[in-house]
Amino acid sequence: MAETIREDDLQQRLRAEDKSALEFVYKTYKSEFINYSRRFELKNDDALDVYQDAIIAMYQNFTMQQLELTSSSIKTYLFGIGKHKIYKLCKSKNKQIEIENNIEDFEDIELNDDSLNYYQKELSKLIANISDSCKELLRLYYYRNLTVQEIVEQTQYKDANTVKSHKSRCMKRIKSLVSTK
Amino acid sequence: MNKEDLLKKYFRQSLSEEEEKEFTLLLESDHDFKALYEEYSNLNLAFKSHEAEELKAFLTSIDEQEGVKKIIWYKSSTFYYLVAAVLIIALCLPFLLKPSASSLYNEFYEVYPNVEQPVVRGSEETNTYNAFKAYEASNYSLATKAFEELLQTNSNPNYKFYFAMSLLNDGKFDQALNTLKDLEDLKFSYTDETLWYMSLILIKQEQPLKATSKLELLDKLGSSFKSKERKVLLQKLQDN
Repeated sequence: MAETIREDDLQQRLRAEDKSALEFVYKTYKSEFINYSRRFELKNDDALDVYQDAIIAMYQNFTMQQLELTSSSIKTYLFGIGKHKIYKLCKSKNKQIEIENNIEDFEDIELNDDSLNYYQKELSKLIANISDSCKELLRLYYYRNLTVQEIVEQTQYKDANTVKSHKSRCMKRIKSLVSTK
Repeated sequence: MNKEDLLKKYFRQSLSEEEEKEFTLLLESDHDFKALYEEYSNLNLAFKSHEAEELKAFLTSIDEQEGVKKIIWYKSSTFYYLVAAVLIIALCLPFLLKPSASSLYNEFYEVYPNVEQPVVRGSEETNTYNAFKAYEASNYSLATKAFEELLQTNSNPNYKFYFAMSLLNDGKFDQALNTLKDLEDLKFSYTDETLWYMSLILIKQEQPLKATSKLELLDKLGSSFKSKERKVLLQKLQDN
């Protein structure tokens, strides 16, 4: 099946937040990544955890930044992120990494550190308490990084002003929730 | 470029060098822009973390579904029936690929017709007549008794042959074979038939080598009886 889906089509679907494309990529490389992580003597649970985190980071870069891979494939990119996460995990466990140089390997890719401050953590929890319509609108604006015009094009909102006024109400709502904390 | 677009491009990581300079300058000099940036950044990271949790749950559910599918498969009775079926087929394969002795016997066996004593109405009801009448009526146990009685007073090998045929048709293979053995060295009306039926009984008794030797003997004798069938049967015995 991997051969039947074109790489650029798959990337396009990932950018469009297509969950079935995510599932496809996840299932396609799972065993290979788990095997790869055995070189670093990772336990299966840790390897799966790292793989899931790498998949999520990759997917979020597609959906949030509209990533277009031109000089590498999804697999190389995914394994690069995964490798960096393995290094990080091994370092946190004070584990020395020795890798044979003659085996095929991936260039590790370091992504931004997304650790949240206290306020951001609280905000993250509050997202679950706002209405579905607010959540979706703010998600499109702040997470997918769509412009107001793009939101109009991709949703049922009739125009930019409606989007702006709804967004304004939603922001008031979330700020009121923050202030009551 | 307006401030909102600049922010969007920053978070999409698609600022040009010039836009990046503009962005940095604004962040340092414009308090409203800085506040806008911080609000955007807070919500961006908060949503990213919230979405990451949902995605993690989604990926875990994929694994669970895969696991459940495997467990359901392993636990399903269908799985065990299939394993059993595969084992049975594997064990039976040699037998399935080769025709069994019974199937070969059934393929070639035919009741030998009464060509000795015509049974017609008005005939005198002698012991001979009654024996063949029972034989023609497919009442082989009665025919067996009748031929047995007949043979006590008459040693005609033809009658003995039909006695053997009665036994054979009645499913008494050992007795039929022993009776035919008494006849196999005789030159009489049913010499070829005797060897042919001996061969079939030997196949049924899973003695293919002995069966083959009977058929080869018929070849040597230049017999034309069942010549086509003999050729096919010999081939099948050799293939086995």
